[in-house]
Amino acid sequence: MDKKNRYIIGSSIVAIALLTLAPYFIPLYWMAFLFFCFIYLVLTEMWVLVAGFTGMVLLGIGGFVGIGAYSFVIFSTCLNWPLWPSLILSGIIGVIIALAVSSTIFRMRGAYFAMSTLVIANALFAWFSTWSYTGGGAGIVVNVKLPIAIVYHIALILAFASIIIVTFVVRSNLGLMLKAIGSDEDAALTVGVNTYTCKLYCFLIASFMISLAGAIYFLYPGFVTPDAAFSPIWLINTLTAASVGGWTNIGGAIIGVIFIITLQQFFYVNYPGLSMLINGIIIVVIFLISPRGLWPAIRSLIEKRLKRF
Amino acid sequence: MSELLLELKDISVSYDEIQVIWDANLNIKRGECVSLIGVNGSGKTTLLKTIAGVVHPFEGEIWFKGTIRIDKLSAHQIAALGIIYVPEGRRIFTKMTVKENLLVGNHLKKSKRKEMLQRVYELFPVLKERENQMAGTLSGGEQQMLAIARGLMADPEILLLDEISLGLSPIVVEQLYEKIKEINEQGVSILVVDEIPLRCLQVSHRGYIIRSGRIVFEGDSSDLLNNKDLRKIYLGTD
Repeated sequence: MDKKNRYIIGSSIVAIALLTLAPYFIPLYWMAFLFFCFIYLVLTEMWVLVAGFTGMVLLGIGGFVGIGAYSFVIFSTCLNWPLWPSLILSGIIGVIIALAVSSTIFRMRGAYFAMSTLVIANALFAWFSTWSYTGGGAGIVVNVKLPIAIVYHIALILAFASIIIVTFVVRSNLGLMLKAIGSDEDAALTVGVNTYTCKLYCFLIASFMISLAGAIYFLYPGFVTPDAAFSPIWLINTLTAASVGGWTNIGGAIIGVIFIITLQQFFYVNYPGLSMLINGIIIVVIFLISPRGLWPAIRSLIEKRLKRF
Repeated sequence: MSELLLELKDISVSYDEIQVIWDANLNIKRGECVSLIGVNGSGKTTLLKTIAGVVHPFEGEIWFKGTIRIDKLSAHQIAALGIIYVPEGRRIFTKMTVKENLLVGNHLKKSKRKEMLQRVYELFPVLKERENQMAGTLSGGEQQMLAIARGLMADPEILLLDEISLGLSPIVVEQLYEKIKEINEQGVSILVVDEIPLRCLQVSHRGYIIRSGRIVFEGDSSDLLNNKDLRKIYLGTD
């Protein structure tokens, strides 16, 4: 186990070093590719924490991406505040919205909770489609000029932070409570777990990170529209990535994200209208053949093969 | 065995419009093992859930140690006071290991983690053997042991045991009741609910009989066991 840990730490240091230096020697296309991976890695890790471990199916993930994006635009462009405070504040706005809706949506569980988060995302979409301050449905230009390499590095840091955060939370005492809640919320209550507070912490962590990811993402295209910010594609891609990687698999999320971004790039370039349909089919097939996730199933298959020799 | 640990005063409970418990009075003294007996649908589980704070009464009061009123508190607050409910149907965390299940049960008393683990492993050695196994892979009897052990990890003053013999073989039930006696002898007060009254009356000091939501008899277990009329009417044996 110790040897395995050392191996994981060693290889991740190499990977981080390579990814940090990557902007200086890889073409722009691949930099954008990795940038998408980082953003989705944040979303997928948060999905693993909130939906995988805690059992709260956060269908409204796109809502927080949009909140982050629009908060950032308002702070950085409309109010002309500097970059870093605007970024951090957009994460905090996500937390405030999460806090505001939590007392209502935490009354619901399962499918009802999932739907309520989706409804919130849709309500926000409707609001930003008509709010003239941010340009309504036509969107608004993000007036921040940053070299693409810097944007890339910010996303890399966030992605790395999300892996660390989820790993630590899951191993902590809070993580134990969250797993118990994910397994049987009522039973957790009767042994004295304050399920409301535990779920709230988990939800707030996720809303902060997802909002931040949303803010950072829109530095790349340079303008925000309600269609892009609150797009259902955020949810669909995250769900696919998590299903490939395994809902409770922190490392698997990396595989899942690379898989979905590769697929999306390929299909989006070649068959733009079909890419969402294909994502949907992939999710259904994975749920049918391996509900635990595709990657954990493949890995146990490989391990079995290796043992045989 | 004198201090009144838990006292229910005229508790009435309803689910929406339908009343299921009428004016229930029940008490447990420190160190006592009390059984609550009744047939299916008589309101046993509801009464336990009311004590545990999963369900709230619309009338009446519940007092803990004579000074703390608990009938308005939420389930996790009641658990924090030391009243632990072991739910019907075991309800263990199936996708967590045996040890993780126990640690969740222990989170209120983390300072006593080692001591508590040792205590439950001594009581249920099989859990020690399987501590790294997924709880869902345990047998029914072992799962029930885990559910009780998880409750014990909180170092409770009162353990509320709901239908522990449900779906288990008579031999396993026998073993479980031995353990319950042992737990009680360690000083934990117990309120045990079961559909099979004989076994649970043999380990308990006193018993209550509940019928259609009303407590109809209260007395020493030996009285309940020996009283021919009561046996016939409420326990269904000769």
